[in-house]
Amino acid sequence: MNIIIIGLIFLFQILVFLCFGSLFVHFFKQTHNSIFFSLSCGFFINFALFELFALPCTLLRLPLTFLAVIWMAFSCIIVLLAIYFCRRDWKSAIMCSPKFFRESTWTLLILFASILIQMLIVFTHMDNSADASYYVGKAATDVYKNSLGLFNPYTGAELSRFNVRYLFSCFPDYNAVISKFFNLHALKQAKVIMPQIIILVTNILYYQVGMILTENNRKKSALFVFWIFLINLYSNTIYTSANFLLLRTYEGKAVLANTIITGIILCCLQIYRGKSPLFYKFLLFFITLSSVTFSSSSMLIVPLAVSAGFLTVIFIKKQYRSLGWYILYTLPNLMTGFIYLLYTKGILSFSI
Amino acid sequence: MGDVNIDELGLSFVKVCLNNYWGNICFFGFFAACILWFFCRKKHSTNLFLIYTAFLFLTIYNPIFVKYIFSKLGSDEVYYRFFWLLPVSILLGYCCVNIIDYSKTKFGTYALSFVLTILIILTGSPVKNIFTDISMPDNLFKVPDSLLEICNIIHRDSEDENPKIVAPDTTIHMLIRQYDPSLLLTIDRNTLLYRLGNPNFVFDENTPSYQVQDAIMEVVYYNDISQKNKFINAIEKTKTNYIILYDTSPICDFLQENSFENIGITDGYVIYRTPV
Repeated sequence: MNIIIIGLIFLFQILVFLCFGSLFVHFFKQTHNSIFFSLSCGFFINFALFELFALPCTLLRLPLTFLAVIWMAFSCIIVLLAIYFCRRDWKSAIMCSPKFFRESTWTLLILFASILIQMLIVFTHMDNSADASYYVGKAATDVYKNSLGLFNPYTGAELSRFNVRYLFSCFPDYNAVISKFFNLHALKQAKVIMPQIIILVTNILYYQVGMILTENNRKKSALFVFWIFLINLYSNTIYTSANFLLLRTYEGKAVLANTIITGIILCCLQIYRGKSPLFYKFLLFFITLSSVTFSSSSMLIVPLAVSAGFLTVIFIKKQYRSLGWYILYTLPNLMTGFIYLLYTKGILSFSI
Repeated sequence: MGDVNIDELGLSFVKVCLNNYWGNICFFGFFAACILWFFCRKKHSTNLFLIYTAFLFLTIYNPIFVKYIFSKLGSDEVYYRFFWLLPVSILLGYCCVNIIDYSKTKFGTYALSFVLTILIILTGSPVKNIFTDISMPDNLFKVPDSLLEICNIIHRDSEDENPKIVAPDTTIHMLIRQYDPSLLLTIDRNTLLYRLGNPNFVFDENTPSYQVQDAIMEVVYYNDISQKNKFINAIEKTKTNYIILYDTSPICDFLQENSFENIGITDGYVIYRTPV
């Protein structure tokens, strides 16, 4: 019974991400993209917008139930809007899928097997890393105390000031919201459900990058994902992004190292090629904004990634008007970095 | 990478970090070869990767930049995270697809795929052996069953909704509040990791907070019972209610002699109620 409930909550979150993404794709008239691509877009949009809800609630010391109710209400509105505006897009995507399966059956099977094996690895891995005591401990503590960041996740003691290093990283709060709303233990959401979603979204992004590099060749893109899976499977040291993806998937750093950076590369590739630049510029904005939610390490890593992949393109293509976009991409992370710097110097204080 | 810092290593900091990051895995070398191959082939689809990688090597991977600019941030121990920016698996994956493209026959495709697979296996280091290392977790919480039983024993015994405990090892310490946040921990995570020798943490050992936790860690983690009064005072001061130990711990008798009561045993662990 438990596994069925977990499966349903997994599907609910996939549906919400799909709705966010489908609305975005529909608005930009990019409906020729796959439904899975919409799902991956929705993942970033979901967390970018969640940050805008969660951070004020945290600073205002509002209870978790308040955040859970308003976020779920907002998600329901998005789902209803998506059903109304995007149902024809979904219908045509479903009608086209048998054709895709017939064209590349074996390679798609290899693709699905690669993703399923990763999901199995992540599902079966038992981890007791020190960082989990923060990421998962915070979600569990927030659910137990019906609060947001007011208690030390390591000891359970009441905090006198916010932990500013992690203040902006609201990813554990998202897990707490889902746990609170569905009366699900935080461990199940954080270590069973969310890692599966992250694996799925990351592999969708790899497939999309493959489609760009192989010029829309589905078979080659599927095999591209397989090769990345194999390379990641054999890239094990305690520092590699693959290690985080497969063994520490529940951490925000894993999302940053694998999903966010791949998303940035995907958008920069399309912008470089001049394909639907406005759509991918907006998507890149949501990716960079959502990166704040996942990990404080994105303070420096994301601006660097954007500088390497987007700023360089601006100068090569002499599209200096796009500098405004560059500032927009780097601003959220640089601001959080600046606030953290002021806090460490004692200029700012975040007392509770 | 707590054991490396820019002040000591200077301009070789980046190289040492890169070596530590990849260990014995050869993929970075393959990545460099791929970059060169795509550069020579003038392949348009990978131009952005060349620009992207060049930018990173001119900035964050540039030893001079790192020594004189990055060093001001004091983030040496997390420098390795910047290597996540390198699109190694993406470019290597694309390279594999390109290599297999050269084959004009099905046999050639399979042969090349086999060779590439063997090459990856032999030059990499596996995250998991999918044939031997996969086993179902004990439960859907993905914590040992013994942890669930420990929490049950404590709650059955305690009148307090939030009893305070000391865990016997880092496994239980890191996991217990993830499963049961109603339990409070006497020892802070960072203090514990520092005391166990993790170089990423620095503490002033003269603070009262550290000293009282250390008095408990000395007994529970290092079996040093020479300062009994200090330990008992620390237990009282921190209002610790329970101590969890291994059932083979040499300090079990010491605790029982000092009025700590054994309230339960499960799967290699024994739980003691403190006299507090």
